Amino acid sequence: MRDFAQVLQTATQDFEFNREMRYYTGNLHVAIGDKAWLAAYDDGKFLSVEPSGTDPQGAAIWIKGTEEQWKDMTAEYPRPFFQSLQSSSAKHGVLLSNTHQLYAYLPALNRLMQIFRQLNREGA
Amino acid sequence: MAKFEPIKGGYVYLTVEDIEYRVYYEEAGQGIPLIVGHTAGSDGRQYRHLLNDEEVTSRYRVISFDLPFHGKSLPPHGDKWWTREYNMTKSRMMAFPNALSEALELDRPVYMGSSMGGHLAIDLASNFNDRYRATISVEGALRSAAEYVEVGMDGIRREFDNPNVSRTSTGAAMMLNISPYSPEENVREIQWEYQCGGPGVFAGDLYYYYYDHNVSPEEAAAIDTSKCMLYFLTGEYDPNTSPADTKEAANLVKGSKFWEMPKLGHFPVTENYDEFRKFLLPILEEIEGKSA
Repeated sequence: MRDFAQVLQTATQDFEFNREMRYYTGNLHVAIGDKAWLAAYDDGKFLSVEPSGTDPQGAAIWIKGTEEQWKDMTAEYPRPFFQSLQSSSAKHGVLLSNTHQLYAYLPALNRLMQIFRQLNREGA
Repeated sequence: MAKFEPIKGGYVYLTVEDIEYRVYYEEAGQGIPLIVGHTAGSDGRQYRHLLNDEEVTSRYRVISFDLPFHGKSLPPHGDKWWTREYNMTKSRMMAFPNALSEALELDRPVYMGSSMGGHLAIDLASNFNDRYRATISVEGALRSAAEYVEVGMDGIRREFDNPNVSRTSTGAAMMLNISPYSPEENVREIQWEYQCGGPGVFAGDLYYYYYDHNVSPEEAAAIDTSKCMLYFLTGEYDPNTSPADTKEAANLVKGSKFWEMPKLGHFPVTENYDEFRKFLLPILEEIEGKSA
């Protein structure tokens, strides 16, 4: 499975992702199987991303899935109903934080998933 | 040379539950009347491709309307609507197309709706089979998927009617319903329409979609398709009413017809109209044949 830090580094160059992350201050935690990453933002500005334990550590926005679930979610054409984070959560058991911030920054997370798929497609 | 579309718009006053509403509608074509109903929290713009489809409008008078509080149908004057929570109910959902049909003096129109409009197609076939010659339920079922129903109205409002969360996120959330095969420009259009909705309206519409629409197996079995034919169309990628959910309804409604639409999602009319019409046109042809 891809290094999520690479996905996030690519996203920092993306107009739409940066726009949708505007004003976010806090952490974003992503767990893929037994690997995890913790990213920090301040007023929408990306500060850092580091390997982390799989516990979200109080991050307001977190996504947790098995490696298999992430493979399904980031396939070029995901099978039903892996087409989005939320349908993957409702129908396939992917875990998401239930916070205002997750809902508020859903447009950014959608874009992040698009970038993840794009990197897979390009084999980058 | 300027480019025009054949769609004409107008306003009609409809009285429902003792409240007068100024309702916006658009229409194109002539022939058998076909009322089309939009999804929760969106508006009639979803049907712009259908309204421009000459193969349909040469035989059907297609009428798309914005429910009050949606699109260009403002909240009603003369009613203090801001003093109470907006929630859409089954009785009101059924009353609007009925009132529109009466106001436009339509002769037993066809009704087609998607999502909550798809649920409504079943409710109309069950409760008003004397008023419609056929209904087409797009993404409809006896009830919406349990995983979403169990969230409850508090959970729905937390996500979709929350001062901490902008309307942009409502559009983003619609990704859960959309097929990965749909052209991105169409996906963005669906999201845009959702981002334009009134405050609390999408969440309030879900009261009907998740709770007030709840058809029992007995009620479904009692639908008389000889009076009002009921067609079902559901996209492969719809998690709210999956093809399996729709098939359950179709199996109960004797004489109804059901097609699963591969590679389409919850918004097939807008997601990919060219694919959707491959399923719609034979249905319209059958209705036309029976109407002759």
